[in-house]
Amino acid sequence: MKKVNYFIPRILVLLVFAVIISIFYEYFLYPKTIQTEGWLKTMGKNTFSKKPDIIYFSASPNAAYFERDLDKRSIAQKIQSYLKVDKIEAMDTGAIHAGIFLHALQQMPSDYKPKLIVMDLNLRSFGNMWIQSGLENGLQRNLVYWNNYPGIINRIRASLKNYSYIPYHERSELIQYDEKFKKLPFKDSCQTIKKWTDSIRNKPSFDPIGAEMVIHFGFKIDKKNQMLLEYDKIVKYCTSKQIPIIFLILPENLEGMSLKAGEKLKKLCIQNVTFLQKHFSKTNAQVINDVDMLNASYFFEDFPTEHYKSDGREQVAKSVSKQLKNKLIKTKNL
Amino acid sequence: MLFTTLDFFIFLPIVLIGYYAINQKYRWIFLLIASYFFYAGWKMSYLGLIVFSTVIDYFASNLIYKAKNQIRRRWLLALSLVSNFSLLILFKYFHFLIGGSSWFKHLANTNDDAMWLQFVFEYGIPVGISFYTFQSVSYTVDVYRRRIEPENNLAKFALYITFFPQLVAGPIERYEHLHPQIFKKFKPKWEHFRTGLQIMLCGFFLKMTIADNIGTFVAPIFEQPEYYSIFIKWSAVVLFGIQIYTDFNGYTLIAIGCAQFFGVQLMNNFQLPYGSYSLKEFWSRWHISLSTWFRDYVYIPLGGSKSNKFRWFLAIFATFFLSGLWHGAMVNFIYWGILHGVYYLIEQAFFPVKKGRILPLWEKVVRWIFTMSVVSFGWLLFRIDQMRKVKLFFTSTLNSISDINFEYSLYIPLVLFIVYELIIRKNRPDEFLANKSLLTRWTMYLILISYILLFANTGDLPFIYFQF
Repeated sequence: MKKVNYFIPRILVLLVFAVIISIFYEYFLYPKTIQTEGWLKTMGKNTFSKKPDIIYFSASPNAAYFERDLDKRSIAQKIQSYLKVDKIEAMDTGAIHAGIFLHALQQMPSDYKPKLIVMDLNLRSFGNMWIQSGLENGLQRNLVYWNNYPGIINRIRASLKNYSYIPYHERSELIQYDEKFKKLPFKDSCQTIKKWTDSIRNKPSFDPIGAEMVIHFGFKIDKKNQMLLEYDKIVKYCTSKQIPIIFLILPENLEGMSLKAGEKLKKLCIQNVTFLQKHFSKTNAQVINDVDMLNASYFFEDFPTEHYKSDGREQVAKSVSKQLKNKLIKTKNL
Repeated sequence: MLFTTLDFFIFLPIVLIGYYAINQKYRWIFLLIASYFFYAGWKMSYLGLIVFSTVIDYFASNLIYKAKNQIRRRWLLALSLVSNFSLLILFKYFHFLIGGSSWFKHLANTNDDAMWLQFVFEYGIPVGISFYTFQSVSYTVDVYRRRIEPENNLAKFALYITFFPQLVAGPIERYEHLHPQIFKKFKPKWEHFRTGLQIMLCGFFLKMTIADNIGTFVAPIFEQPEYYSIFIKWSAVVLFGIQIYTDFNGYTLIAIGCAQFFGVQLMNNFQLPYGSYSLKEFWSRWHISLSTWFRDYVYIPLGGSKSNKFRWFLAIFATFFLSGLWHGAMVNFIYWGILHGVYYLIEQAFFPVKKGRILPLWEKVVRWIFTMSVVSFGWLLFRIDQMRKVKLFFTSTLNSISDINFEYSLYIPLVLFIVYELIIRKNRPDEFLANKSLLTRWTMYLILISYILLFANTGDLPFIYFQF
């Protein structure tokens, strides 16, 4: 009885205090936390609340523009101008990937179902450089706030790293390990990324972008690829909800690749694209393959990957909208 | 497993329940398994090294104790020291001594084995290796000096090395202090848990709300000092002094509180170091377990204060130099150690404080400002990653950022920190709270809990001392 008299009032005080703190946090501090750390939730809510016909899931290529671009519209906005009838909304942010897309889809309100989902199959996102990106912890923490728990619970989970948190130095170790020791799928002197980039650096016509391209695209996608498994879950989810989904393989600077990094890298990229097409052909998802659509002049010169100048984004939008029109007709039969 | 993760909040209660559920006779075995599990949480491969170190010191110390021949004893001690310090040097200093050199870099580019070595020693530094190596070395040396008798049971010795609350960042305990406490018969009382929780609460408050929020604030300033005004840069240096103190003291308090649950009183590591009027005093209050380690195993064997001036000078210098080197294989840590060594010598040679002398207020103020200036400048050397950045802290460009938005998540805990230090002073939180009324205690608990809940940093900031 003594123990009960000792503990019960203390536990009650803590409970009452927890409720007060929770209410205080929810009303005064949580909105700011969402702004700074949980903005994916706001982005998702805004997108879903507009109830668009098509949701375009992308990373930075959608909206990144070249500083001299006169037309700074995103790919999604340009697609909208071509589609006219169907309303399209984009969900995009830097370094975002299939894992985040899946979480976003799962948070979609039950009273809303888009006519179609278009999602980037960003080749680079299948590589370790992207999977172990320095931005990943921030994105994972961001997801902690995107649920229906009380704000204070989300904050505690974020403070105690209750998400797939990998310290920065461990991510760096994983990237370095792959670069230095993971065998590439060719039989020549460049057995690893490190050796490959070194061989590029030793050339008299060395362009640092060439080495960057190798680092970002020098991998082979297989069935165990972490990002591919996430995409598979997305297909499964969309099939269960009867939402048609189209994957878009974005144009890559293949011309620049063969020029700056060698023909081998271009071939590897095409191999990966073929693999993805074959993989998703067995599913309900359809694939638009635009990987070789643009020549080097459409890309940012100082960036190794899928970032387009205004006319590049225009070309992507044109191609996508043209194919969407066809595919939309098909998807209506789903 | 970090103390500030949900994993630890699940791990600790499970260990406590398991520990007290089993027969007292076998509790230590459970604690040993839990400690290895805790350590393996970082990387399984780290376990091999700690087991190797444990086995070597166990056998070496037992053989030293049994050996009657002094030369044999010395050889055995040398074997233990060489194997311990070899591991430390290999993992901590390989890159500094060999890996970073141009010939080795060239070799690594052409030879796969050399590349593998470079990779292992760059990324494979086992967490807490400096801490457990020093703890293990102190044991073997104490056996050699016949201050203690060696442990006959390898597993019991292993628990002394791996006791999880203090395994990865100290306090660096001595055998005669820690070992008997772990194995004594212990009947837990609510009092132990209450004081343990009080101490841990303060630890979490210092680490999660003060250290990490300051850390987020100062990181970009140290990264690119050229963009900030001199005032902001030096504010960042002072703030870093608070960050490293609250980070390390926070960790230590969590460790002390956690050990308390198992009936173990770990030594205090800090006693209001920023209230020191001299560097000598600062070093008697900062990272006490390491300072006393260096005193007992480096400074005194080198002659200490009882030798002639020249030897004393060398002993001080060597102690501070090694103390800098202990923190890591970077030139800035060595400069940091040398800076403290030089100022310590100047202070002791020209401005010593005689024992028992009460300082007048003006002298206290002057000495405090001087001491804190040296300590702060030391933190600048400690924090920067490239020596060229030091001079950037003394210059400012015309368009540098001179206005920074001090957020409430920074300045409120900062004020609380100052209040905390002034109230608690040299005491441990549980000592301070021991004679306080229920209302005072609970007011303090609720303030600390609310600040942790509302302002704990959510960024990617591990404990600073884990890297050592």
